[in-house]
Amino acid sequence: MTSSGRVTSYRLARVLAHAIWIVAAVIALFPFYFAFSTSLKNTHSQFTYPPEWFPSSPTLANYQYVLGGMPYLRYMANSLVVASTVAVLKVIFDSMAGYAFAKFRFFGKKILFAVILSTLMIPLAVRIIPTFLIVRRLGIFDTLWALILPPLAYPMGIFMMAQFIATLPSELQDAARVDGCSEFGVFRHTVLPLIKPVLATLAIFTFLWQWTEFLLPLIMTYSPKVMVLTLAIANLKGQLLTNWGAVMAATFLALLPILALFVLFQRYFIEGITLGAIKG
Amino acid sequence: MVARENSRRDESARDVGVNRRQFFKTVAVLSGAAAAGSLMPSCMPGGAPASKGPVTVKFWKSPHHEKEADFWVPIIKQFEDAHPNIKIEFSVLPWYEAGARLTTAFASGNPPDVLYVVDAWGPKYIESKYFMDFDAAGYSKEVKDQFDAQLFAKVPNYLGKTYGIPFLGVPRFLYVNNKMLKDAGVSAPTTWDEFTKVGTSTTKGDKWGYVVFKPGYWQAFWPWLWMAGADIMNPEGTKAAFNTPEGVNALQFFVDWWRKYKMLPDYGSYDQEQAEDLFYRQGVAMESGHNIMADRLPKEWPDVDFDVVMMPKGPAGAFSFADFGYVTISQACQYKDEAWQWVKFITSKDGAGAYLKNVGLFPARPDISIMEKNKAWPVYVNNMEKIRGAPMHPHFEEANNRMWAQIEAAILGQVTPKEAFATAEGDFNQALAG
Amino acid sequence: MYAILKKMRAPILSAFERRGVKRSTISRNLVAYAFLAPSLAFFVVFMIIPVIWTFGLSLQEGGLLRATSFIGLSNYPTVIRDPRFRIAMLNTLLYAVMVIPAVLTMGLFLAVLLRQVVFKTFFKSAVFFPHLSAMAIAAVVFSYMVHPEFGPLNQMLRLLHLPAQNWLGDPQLALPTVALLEIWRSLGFNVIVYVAALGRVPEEIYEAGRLDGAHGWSAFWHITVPLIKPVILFTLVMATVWNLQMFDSVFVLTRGGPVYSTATVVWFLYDNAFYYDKVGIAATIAILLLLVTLVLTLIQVRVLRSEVEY
Repeated sequence: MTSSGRVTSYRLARVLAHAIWIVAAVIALFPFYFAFSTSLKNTHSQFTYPPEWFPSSPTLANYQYVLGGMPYLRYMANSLVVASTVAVLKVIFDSMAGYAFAKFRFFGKKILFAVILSTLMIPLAVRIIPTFLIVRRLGIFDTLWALILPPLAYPMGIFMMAQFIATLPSELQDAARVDGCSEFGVFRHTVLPLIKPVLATLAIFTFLWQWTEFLLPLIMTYSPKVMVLTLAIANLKGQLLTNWGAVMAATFLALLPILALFVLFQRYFIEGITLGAIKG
Repeated sequence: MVARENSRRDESARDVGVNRRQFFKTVAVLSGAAAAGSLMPSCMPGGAPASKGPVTVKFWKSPHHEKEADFWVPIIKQFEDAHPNIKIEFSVLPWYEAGARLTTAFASGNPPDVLYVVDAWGPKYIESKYFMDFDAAGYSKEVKDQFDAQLFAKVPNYLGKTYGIPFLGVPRFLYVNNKMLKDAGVSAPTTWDEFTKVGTSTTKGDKWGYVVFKPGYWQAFWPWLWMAGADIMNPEGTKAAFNTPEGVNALQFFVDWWRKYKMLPDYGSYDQEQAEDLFYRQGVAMESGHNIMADRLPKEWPDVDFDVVMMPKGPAGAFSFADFGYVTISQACQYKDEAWQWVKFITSKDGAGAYLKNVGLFPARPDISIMEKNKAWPVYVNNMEKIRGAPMHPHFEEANNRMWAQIEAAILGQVTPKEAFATAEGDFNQALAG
Repeated sequence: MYAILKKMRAPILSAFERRGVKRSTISRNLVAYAFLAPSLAFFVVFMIIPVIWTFGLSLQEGGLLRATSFIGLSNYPTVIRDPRFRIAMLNTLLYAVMVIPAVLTMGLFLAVLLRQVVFKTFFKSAVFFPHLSAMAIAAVVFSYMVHPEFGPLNQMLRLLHLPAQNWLGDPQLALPTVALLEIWRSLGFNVIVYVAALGRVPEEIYEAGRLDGAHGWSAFWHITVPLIKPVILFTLVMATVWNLQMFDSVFVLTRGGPVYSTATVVWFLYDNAFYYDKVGIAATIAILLLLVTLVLTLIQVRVLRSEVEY
């Protein structure tokens, strides 16, 4: 192949790559556009044919309806409380456990780690019935606790933390012990500061996964006062409501908090996945 | 409004309970101002628990209106004023997965005290003794005389015992769009032949002759089964009864709407609300609708010229389907007599009337006449004995789902109606056996 | 918690010391377990116990509303012989086969192409975007998009003079349509994972490869793929676990129909546990799902691991 031929084919490849990526991005974003534009339409222009790609007379009535007609903010607050509490607790507990696995030799370590690793393959659906029975026995059925405590068992974070903390030099901890730090002090002063990015990543992904959880709230809650957004919106479809615009307004509003998080912490979203995937 | 806010605050305070104050404090900080703003007022523990004060009765009902909770506020207030020792705590139980939610609520040991039940839901819970026996408690004979004897003996009844007081009825009749029929030169059908004729002659362009929605679809089929002279289950309620020549005829007729007459939109394209909406927007000439439609049409869609008629007569006559709802008290309720006061009140002429006139549903008692203007009302009154309800069996839900899968297969042309019912009969009976 | 541990420390220490275990070893164990304690507590209560309990329930007959009684293993033949379970299992596997290869290959493909593209962050974010919305919520939007009459998907087909489809009402199309939604939602996740993995492959390796005559496709196949194999394995295993428990989308969109064409294993489990009140059957379904998931992921790990280690 001549060098000019190679340059042309390289250019062609670039054009093609852009074309493919543009198509992918349009497909990825189109449903959001559809939801958003429908949410701005009034009830009568949702069924027009040929379709109206831009609302001809945009209105915020659907947003008013959603925010005024049901305890939407309550649902959103419930979702936020659940997702952020799980995220915070998980970050604390998993970093502690990860530290133990990474920096201590202890009885039963290998077996325990193997057990924990193998449970990564156990989906929630498999455990859902006993989880309900345990939640019932703990007396937390139909409370937000029933959505907060069960996810703490999923060990992905322990695994992630153990891998990352293992890469930190152990000398720091030894030095801190010599300085007379308590064991927790050692962890707090020599480990936590160094794993902040991983903590952020774990927190954000835990938040995302809890924010999008459906099966758990479906089984563990029924009262509107502890209802979370995923359930409330799936519920909308089954209500006395054919108002597409309102449904779309509700779905669009549900996206906002997570969108804000994404914009603020984009770096961690993208790094996070790789950290989990380092070793497989 | 203020009273309602307060009561809501108390209610959540009790639920969130002790020791959670700390939790919510932490969380409020964590989840930022937005969450905190909406959480703190409703979740801070309120006054001391009611040790001696009024008794609280938890009442659940699935919504028949978007403003369900608002409608109950004045009714609850009126009751509480008359009964200062009883407090009613109302919750909307969403229709969405209501069955699964009731299962977990009863299984969790913390069910509602008073519950609105759709008749077909009952047997599963009654069989496991979750509903109270109203005969044994002497409640049913207190009010029995106020109701139609036949209805009272059927709706809240399972295996000869009464488990509640009838509250409302949702009959389905044929709704026709007069203008669309007139344009096609036909009138409302009175026989099956006329029905398909009207259906095909009104189907053109983006307009349809008829529509069957899903889920909840079985309600659209059962009347045709009855009208053909077949039934879902035998009179003893132990076995399938639909796999007879008459039953197969009914299914053949049903399937032909799509496959032969092509008078319906693609199977499964409309859920119930969308199908109703299609009628409101004059996209369909006929629909088997419930009485809320007759209530909403003149109020919200005054341009639609419609009528409500009885289902068109089949080989065995005309029949139509209705859900009935009753109000029950759960066996686990601690204050049964107080709960009974509430049940008696809301099923009374005044209580039921106050609620039903808001939602446009038919009362289960004959002395409430709030519906004269509803076009479905005369059809309801004149055809009382031709209205049938869902079969009562604890395993009916599973049996019915299995039956419907075969009907779907027939609609989609995968099997013939005969084959569909042959398979369905076996599946159905197996499910009933548990 | 801490106070209890402190109190327990002395007696535990002396008990072990009497058996000749070194004091420092004991104390190291205690510290390690103290750090593990909170995670382990939840792990035991909500992971280990439920799995064992599920197995226990699979040996019972009865429901959440009814009393249960021990019947041994006889739920297993009942479930395995049930044609509805077989269809559900088949649908679940078919769905996984439709989704997983598609997202893995397309994800890798897009990640490789990203090198050539400007505005990398924008594009990456755009395809990741669908992952931010919950499946249940995305399914609600999707249900409107594929509506046979008013949905934009069919309207577009009509504009192109192609026949409109009954996406969720046609038994042949329903499962692929639901799979399409999952592909839409999880493709971006895979893209991001692969982009990061590719970014960690040192440029020198490609340069060395080029000297050996590895360009384009062959460089990709002989250099890139082996190096990121652990990441591929990770995404494959995670996608398998995730897709075999598919539920949210069928729950919102199709409820298993039409004619069982989208009935999945978890859907069947849910109906049995919470509608038909057959908790033993539901638990049996859960255990069978677990076995299938474990077998499949173990095969994946075996196959890909052994090839990696050369």
